[in-house]
Amino acid sequence: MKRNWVLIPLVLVVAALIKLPFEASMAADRPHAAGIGLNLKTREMVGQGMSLALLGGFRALVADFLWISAHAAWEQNRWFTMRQDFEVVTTLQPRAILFWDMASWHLAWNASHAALNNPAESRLAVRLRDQRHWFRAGRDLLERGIANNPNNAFLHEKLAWMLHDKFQDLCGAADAALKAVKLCHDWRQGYLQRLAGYWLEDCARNVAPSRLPETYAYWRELWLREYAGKPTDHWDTIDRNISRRIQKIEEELRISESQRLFPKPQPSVTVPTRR
Amino acid sequence: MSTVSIQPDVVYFNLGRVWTMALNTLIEVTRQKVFYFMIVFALLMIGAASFFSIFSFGEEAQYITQLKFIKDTGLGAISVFGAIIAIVATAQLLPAELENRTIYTILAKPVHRLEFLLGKFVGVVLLLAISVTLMGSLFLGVVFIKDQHLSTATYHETVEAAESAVAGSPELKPETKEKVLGEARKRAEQAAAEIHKTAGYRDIVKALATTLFKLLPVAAITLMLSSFATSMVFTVVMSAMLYFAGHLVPVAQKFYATSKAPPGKLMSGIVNWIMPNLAAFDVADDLFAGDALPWLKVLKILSYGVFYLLVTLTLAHLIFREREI
Repeated sequence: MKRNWVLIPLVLVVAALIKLPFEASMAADRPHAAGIGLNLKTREMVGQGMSLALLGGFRALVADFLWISAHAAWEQNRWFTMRQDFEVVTTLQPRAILFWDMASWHLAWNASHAALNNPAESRLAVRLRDQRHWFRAGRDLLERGIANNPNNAFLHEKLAWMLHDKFQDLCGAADAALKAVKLCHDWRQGYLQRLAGYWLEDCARNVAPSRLPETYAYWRELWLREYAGKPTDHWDTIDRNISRRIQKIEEELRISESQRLFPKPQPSVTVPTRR
Repeated sequence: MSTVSIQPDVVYFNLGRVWTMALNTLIEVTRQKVFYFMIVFALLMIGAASFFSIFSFGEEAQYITQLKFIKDTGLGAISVFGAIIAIVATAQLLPAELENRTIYTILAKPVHRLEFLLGKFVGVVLLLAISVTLMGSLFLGVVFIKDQHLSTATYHETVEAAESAVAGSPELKPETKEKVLGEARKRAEQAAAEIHKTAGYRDIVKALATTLFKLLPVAAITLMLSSFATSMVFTVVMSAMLYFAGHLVPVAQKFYATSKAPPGKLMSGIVNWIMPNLAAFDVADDLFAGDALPWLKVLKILSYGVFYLLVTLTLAHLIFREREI
């Protein structure tokens, strides 16, 4: 037995010396897997039973259960409960894009709509203030989602839509859409490229005229890369739409004829006939 | 008068004996009703995972939600029931041998205690491998059925929508109609492919592998505890506690890095140095979030499990060889 007093601590020390660099190497492989700390606030929000599940490593299951709870709260118009559930769900699974997307949509669209049409509040100003409150709640949540998943094009696109539809922030929407374009590499890329262009132009025309050259550069680069010289299909309305926009901006910016993508047709020279 | 020299018989370590004991252990544990109860309950839960998918809300990402719910529930069930099987099956191995007094007849034969211990452990490993394979197969089947259902439905919905739109536009030329329908079919195929990708079969297999290799150190820890414990209840409770503590290693690491109070730093340091980081095996969240986790990195996680297994089995052997039976 005496031998064990030496051997067991020795094994533990050797194991610790191997374990720590091993774990550091695994952590470097998965930078997002640091996990959430079960702090007091989280414990209070999820309750005793679910804290135990969290301790057992069943984060996904707890998050799904709370998602169902949020679903019930949504059906019963309990918006604050729904928001609290969303906060916990997104804290537990910050890498689940779906949660950020759906939760922010519920806050900025559904809860805000309910606040504006609240029958218990007769004062329009208060209802409008409440509506803005839910808009901001949705945007804040989505921005946290983007901070957790900075390379996700989908969340940037959702933010663009939210800024455009709910905040009428045309330039903010354009910038978010441009970020989404840079990050998107799948079949949605074409749609996002055009969306970013339209909104950038809206921003330049309605809010920041100084961004018109940037808009021109964007459309020009997109046209040359994606549309010029390629056969038009049934989407040729899109081609015509973009080409018309480019022509219009070329006129407005007074781009020299030689630099234009669509130079003006030269008037035909008619030689007078001699009699 | 001749003298007879008595030489001690040297019994070498024999893997054949380990394997024989492992198979006996497997038969022994599979005869227990609790094992079947756990497996049936787990299979029911995995099979019912489809039911939870009805709680998806929103049209756009419905298939993502449905598949996410199924995968979370299925993997959660495998993890929970796997851990229960690992702890309960292992905890009763040595006490049962002692209670039935079969350990005396085994160890009276030329059998090393290490062989005995390894035989028991390998038996549990076989049990866990069978359980996870069984549950994992059903789980993959459920995901496959859902995937097929969702992708087929999405394909038909997209094509039918385009067909009705074309039918309602008589002014379109026939070649334009054909182009629109062709485009719709292409889009439908892309959407179906996206659903197949979301199902992520390879990722599920990786998650199942890491789940199995998380259960092995848990079983080894339980065996180590039962190598000196006199009560099965003590072993089960302690193993469950250590299982939870293992998932809190990342928290202990953070606390150790930030804490300034010596007692807290010492406690978190001990947890950090001794306990296996069981949270490192939970790769499902990362995989399903779309993070690439190549097999090489998965193998690193699996080898971490093997490393802890060896450490714990060494400790179990050191304790068990000195134990008075």
